[in-house]
Amino acid sequence: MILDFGKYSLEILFSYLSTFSLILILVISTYLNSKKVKKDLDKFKNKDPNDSKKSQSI
Amino acid sequence: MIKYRKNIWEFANPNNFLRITDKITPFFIILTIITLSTGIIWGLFFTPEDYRQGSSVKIIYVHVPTAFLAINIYFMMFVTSVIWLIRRHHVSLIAAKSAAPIGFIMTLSAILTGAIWGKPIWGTYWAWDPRLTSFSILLMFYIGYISIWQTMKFSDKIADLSSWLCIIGSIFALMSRYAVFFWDQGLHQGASLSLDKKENIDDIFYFPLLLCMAGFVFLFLTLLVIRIKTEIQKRRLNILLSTGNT
Repeated sequence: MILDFGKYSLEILFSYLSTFSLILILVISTYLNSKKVKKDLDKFKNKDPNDSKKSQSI
Repeated sequence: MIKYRKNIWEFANPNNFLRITDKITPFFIILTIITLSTGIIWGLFFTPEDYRQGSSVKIIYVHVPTAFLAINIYFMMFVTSVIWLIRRHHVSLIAAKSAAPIGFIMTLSAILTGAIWGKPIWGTYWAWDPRLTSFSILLMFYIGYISIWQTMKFSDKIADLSSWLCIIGSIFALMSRYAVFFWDQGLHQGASLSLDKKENIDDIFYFPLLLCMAGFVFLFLTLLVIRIKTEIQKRRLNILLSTGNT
């Protein structure tokens, strides 16, 4: 088997899996957060420009 | 020299920061994928077993880079926090805030992989060894720093508080780095990498390890840049929303 590293296979696999799972969580949360903020910012910018003028006049 | 200093402070302007990092982020992503995948494949499949530790030595390719980053991210946060306290550059404060979760994950990973490695080599998952203890305290400082930003609304006072916490915690980051030399006791070995070639690990482990470390550093830079950009955009959105609602 390709993932057979001898006596300490389990320890090696656990180490790599735990590290890359944590990193994956970080990467996914960073990506989703950046997408969400970008989307919200675009939504705000594309909103009817009269809205902001109205609110400013108020 | 004047030109160099001027260039560094250009990053303090959020617009300049966004403009420059927009260009370099794709390169960071490509470099991360290339160096990390090459380093991990090389280390896992093309290096021999150690004569004393057997195949468990392969854990070094994730343990050492994560531990290296855990300490150095905290030092980066220390420098940016000092810049915030002295020069009040918001980008430097945002950099510290954005780096903290990455540092936390790296510290946690270093502790986890260290424990997994410790069981077959030391016979125990955990010991109150100077380096392990200072690392667990460093983890607490990361949690404390992140908690401040998660639970409190932004203000200069909170920014100062988080910066001071970061400066105090940097003592433990320094201890984590030099604990093995300060107290000549405990289970943890000395540094695996050194400028002195005699103290280094064998070349057959050294080069894939170096590549893995480069991969993890590029991963950190990629995530950091994206997180800083997101934070700047979030602040802009909040300002737009607050001015739009008044």
